[in-house]
Amino acid sequence: MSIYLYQFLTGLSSGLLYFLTAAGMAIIVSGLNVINFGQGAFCMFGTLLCYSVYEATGSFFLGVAAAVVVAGVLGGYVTEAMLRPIYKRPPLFQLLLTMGVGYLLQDFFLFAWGNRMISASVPEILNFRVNLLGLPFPFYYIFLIIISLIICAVMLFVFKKTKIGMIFRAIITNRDMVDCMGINVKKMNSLMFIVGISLTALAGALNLPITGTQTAAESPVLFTAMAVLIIGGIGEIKGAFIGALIVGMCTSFGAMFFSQYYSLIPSLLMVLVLLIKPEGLCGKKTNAG
Amino acid sequence: MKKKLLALILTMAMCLGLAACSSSTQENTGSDDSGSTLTEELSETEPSEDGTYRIAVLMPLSGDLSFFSGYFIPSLEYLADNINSEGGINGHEVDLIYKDDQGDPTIEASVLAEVLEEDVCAVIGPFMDTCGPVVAQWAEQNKIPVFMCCALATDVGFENQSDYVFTAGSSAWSWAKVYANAVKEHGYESVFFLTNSGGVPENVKEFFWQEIDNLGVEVENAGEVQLSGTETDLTSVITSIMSSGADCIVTSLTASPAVNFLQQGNQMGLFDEVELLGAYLNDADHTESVGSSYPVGKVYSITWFPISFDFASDLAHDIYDRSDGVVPCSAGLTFYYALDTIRAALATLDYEAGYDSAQLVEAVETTTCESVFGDIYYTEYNHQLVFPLYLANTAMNDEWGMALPDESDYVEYGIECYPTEEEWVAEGERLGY
Amino acid sequence: MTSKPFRYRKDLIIGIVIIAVFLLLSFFIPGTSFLLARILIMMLFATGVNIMFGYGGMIAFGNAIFLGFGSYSFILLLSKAGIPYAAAILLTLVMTMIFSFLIALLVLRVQALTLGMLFMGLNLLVYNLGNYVPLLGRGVGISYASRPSFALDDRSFLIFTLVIVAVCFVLMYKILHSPFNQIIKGIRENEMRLTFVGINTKQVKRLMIVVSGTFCGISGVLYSMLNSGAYVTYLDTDISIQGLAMCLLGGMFTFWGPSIGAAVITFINVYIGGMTIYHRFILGIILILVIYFFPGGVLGYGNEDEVSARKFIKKLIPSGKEKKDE
Repeated sequence: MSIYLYQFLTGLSSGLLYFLTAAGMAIIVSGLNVINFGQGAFCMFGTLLCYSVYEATGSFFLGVAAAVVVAGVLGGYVTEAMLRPIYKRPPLFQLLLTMGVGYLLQDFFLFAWGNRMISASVPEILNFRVNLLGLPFPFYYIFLIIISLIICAVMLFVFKKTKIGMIFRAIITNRDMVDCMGINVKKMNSLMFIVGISLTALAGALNLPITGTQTAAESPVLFTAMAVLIIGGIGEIKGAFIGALIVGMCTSFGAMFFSQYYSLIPSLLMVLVLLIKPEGLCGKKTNAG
Repeated sequence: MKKKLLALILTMAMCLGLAACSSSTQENTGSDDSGSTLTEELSETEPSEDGTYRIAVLMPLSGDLSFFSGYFIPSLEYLADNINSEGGINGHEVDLIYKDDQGDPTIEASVLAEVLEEDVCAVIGPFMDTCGPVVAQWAEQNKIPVFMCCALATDVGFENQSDYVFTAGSSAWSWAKVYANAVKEHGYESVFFLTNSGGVPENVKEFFWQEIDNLGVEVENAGEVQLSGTETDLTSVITSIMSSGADCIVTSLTASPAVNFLQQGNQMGLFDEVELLGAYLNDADHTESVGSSYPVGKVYSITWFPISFDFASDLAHDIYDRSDGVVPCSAGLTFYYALDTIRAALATLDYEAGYDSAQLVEAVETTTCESVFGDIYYTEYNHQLVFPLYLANTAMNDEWGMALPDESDYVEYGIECYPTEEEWVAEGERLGY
Repeated sequence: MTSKPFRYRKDLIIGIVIIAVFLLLSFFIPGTSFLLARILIMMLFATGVNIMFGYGGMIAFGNAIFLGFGSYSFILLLSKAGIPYAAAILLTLVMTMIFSFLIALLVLRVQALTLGMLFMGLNLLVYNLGNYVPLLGRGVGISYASRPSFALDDRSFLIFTLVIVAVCFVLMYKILHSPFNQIIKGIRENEMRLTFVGINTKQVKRLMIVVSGTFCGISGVLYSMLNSGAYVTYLDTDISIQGLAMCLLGGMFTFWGPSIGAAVITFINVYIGGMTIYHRFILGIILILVIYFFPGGVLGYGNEDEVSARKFIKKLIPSGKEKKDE
C-alpha cells in the first residue's frame, strides 16, 4: 500500500514540475500565439544559474531566486529585441525564431559552463525523510509539491482577481479588442513572455538537486512539456495542469506496471489524445481551416 | 533581382567554400588517394612522407557524449608524448589524428571516409558501442586494423569479426561473468536488471542469467526496466525497484543516466536496502559529478583503472599531471592500452612493414605488451585484449577528494572472466556463424 | 500560360548545372564524394519535405519518420528477410507508399499547428520505438553493407545517387508543375472555396503526404546505402527540424530552394561540426538571420508563386487584418 503512495507522490511532484514549464508555455502561446521552442533552453538556464549561485554562495534558495530573476531579464530581452520586430509575421516564423534562440542558448551554455554534468545535492534544510505509512519518503519531493501548488494558487489569484490578470485574460480572448481599448498590448505580451520564462526557470532551478543536467545535451523537458500542452490543449493553463498530472501519474505508475516500455508513455498519451480529441482535453474547437 | 543575384553568389561561394575546405582538411602526404577508395585495388596504406606512424583516433569530441573525451585525451597525449620524447618507435614518431564522431554512427561513416585520406596505419576507437559495427565493417573493407575501445554485443562481434578488428574494450560476456560471480559471492536473493538501449546491455543481461544457471545459483528475477536514455527523472523507476523486493540491482547505465540514478536513488533511500552492481560507476568520470551524494559502500563497480589502488597510483598521478586537472578513469585507460599495444607491435617491425596491414595484424597477435597489470595480449580467436577486471566497492578517497574503488574490498578477475576459445566458438555456432 | 516553356528550360539548365558541378567536384577534388552524396540525399529529402510544407502548406514536423521507415525497411528486407537487391528496393518503395498513406490518414484528422504537433508526436513515438524494439536494433540500429554491387566505392556511389536523385527530381518537378499544381496552390490559399468547386481537398492533401513521404523514403533508402546501415538517429526529431530549416533557408516557395538549404545545412553539419563544437550555435544564427532578412528564403518568393505566397502568409496571420510585412 505504501508503495502506491510513494508512486503517487513522486508522480505528483514530477507532474507539477512539468506543469510549471507547460504553464509557462501555455501563457506564451495564448498571449503571443507562439509556441516557444526555446523553453527547454531556458529551463536548463534556470538549472545552470541556480547551480552556479548555489556553489558560490552555499544558499540554494538564493540560487533559485537568482535563476528566476536573471531568466526573466533574459526573457525580456529576447522578447523585446527579437520577437517584437517580427511580431507581425506568421506564427510559424516566430516559432522557428524561438527555436533558433534555443539553439543559440544551448551552445552558449556549453561555452560558459564547459562540457560537464551538472548536479548538486539537496540543501541541508530539506534533506530528510518523513515516515509515510511505514516507508521513509524524502521531504524534498513534498517541498516541490508544496511550492508548485503555491505557485498555482498565486497564478490563479493573479489571473482572476487582479487587474493585470484580467488584462491577460482579455488578451487571450480577443487581442484586437484590448488593443482598441488603449492598452499597450505589445508591452503586455512581453510581460507574459517574461512570466512564462520565469516559470520554467523556476522549474529548472528546483529540479537541480534531483536530476541536474548535462551542458552538451538538449533539454528533454521541452518534449514532455509539449506533450503536456497537447494533452491539455494548447494555450489552456487549466489544461496544462490536468495534462501535467496525467503525464506525471501515468509515467509514475507505468514504471511500476509496464517497466519495460515506460518511457514511451508520454508520446503514446499525446498521440492518443490527438486522435480522440485533437484540441486537447480542455481545448476549444477552433476553425483553423 | 537583387535577391536572385545574392542567391547566385551565395551558391557559388558555397561551392567554392566546399572546395576550399575539403582541400584544406586533407593532409595529403603525396599518395594517390583515388586508389584508396576502391576496395579492389590497394590493400595497404602508404607510409607517410615524414616518417611518422599516423594513427587515427575516433571519439565523441562534441555532442551529447563529448564530456567523456575530456577524460580520454590526457591519457593518450601522455603516452604519445612519452613515446615521442624517447625518439618514437624505432626512431619514428607517433602522430595521433583525432576525429570527432559525436558518438553517432551516421557521422562515423563520413568521418571514416576522411580517415581514408589520412593514410593511417591503424585506427583507435570508437568509444560508443553504437558506432562499433560501422567501424568494424569499414576496417574489414579497407583492410586497416582498428582497435575498438567500445564493447561489442556478441552477435555483432561475430558478424563483424575479421582479421582487422581488435577489441581493446571489454566484452559484455566478461561483465556478465563477473556480475554472476558477485551475485554468488555476496549471496543476493533477488536481482533487478536496469538496462538502457543498445545491444550490449541486452547481451549482458542474457549472459548474466546464463552464467547464473551455469553456476547453479538460486536467485530470483525481480524484474527489469529499460531506459531510453533521455529521461532524467528516474524517481518512478526507483520506486518500482524498491517495491519489487530486490536486494541487488545490476545495471549497464553509464554517463548522465547513471549519475542521475545514483543521486536520485540516494535521495530516496534506495541504497539502504539494495546494492548496485555496475561498470565504470566508481570511476572519476562518474563519481566526480555525483559528489557527496554518492552512496558510498553500496556500489560495486567493475573498473580496470582503480586509481586509488597502489599498483595504479603512479600511472594515475602521471596522467593527472599531464592533463588539465582531469582525473583519469578506466575508459581512458582503454585508449591508452590500445595505443600501447599498437606501439609494442610496431616496435617489432620495420617502418615500411608497420604500414603493411597484414604484417601489423600478425605482429599484434603475437606481441605481448607490458602494463601495470603485467603482460597483456590479444587472444587469437576473438582478438580480445585480456586484462584484469576489478569488482570493487566504493569508498570516499581523501587524496582525490571523491568516491573511488575501495582497496580493502575488491575482487580481481583475470582470464577466467573471459570466454574461452571453446565457449566462443560454441556461441558462434549457436548464433549461426 | 506562355511562361511555362521558358520555365522548363530554365530549370532544366539549373538541373544540368548542378549535376555537372557535383561531378566536377567529385572528380577534381578527391575525397569529397561521400559528402557530396550526402548532400544530394539531403536535397532529395528537403525537396520531399517541401512538397508537404511549402507547396502543401502543412507543418511538416515529422518527416524523419519517412526517412527512417525507408531506411529501416530496406535494411531489414536485405538483412533479415534476405530478399534480392532489386526486389528489396521495389518492395521498400511500395511499403513506403502504404506507410505514408496510413500516416496521412492519421495526421489529417487535425489541422494546422495541431497537425504539426501530432506529426512531431508521432516522430517521437517512432524514435522511441526505434530505441526499444529488438527488430529495429534497439537503439543501435542495424549495420549492413547495402550499396549496389556496381557502386561500392564512394565515387561510383555518388554517380549512382546522382542518377536516382535526378530521376526523382524530374518526377517531383513534373508533379509540382502539372495542372495538379493549381489545385495545390488553391488549397494553400483558400481551401474552403476549393471545396465549393467540388474538389475533395482532404484527398488531395492525403496525396501530397503520400508523395512527400515516398520521396523522403527514397532518400532514406539512399541514406542507408551511404552509411551502410539504418540507425536510430535517422528517426530523430532533429532531422525533421533540419528538413524544415533547409526549406526555410533556401526558400519554401520555389522548387530549388530546399536543395540550396539542404546543401548549406549539410555542409555546416559535417564541416563546421569538425572545426568547432558549437555547430548548434551556427544553425541557430542561420535560422534567426533567415527569419529576419530572408523570410522567403535565399531564393525569395520566385516568379509565378509570388502572388500566391503573399496570400499564403496573410492566411497564416490569425486576425487577418495585418498587412504582409514586406
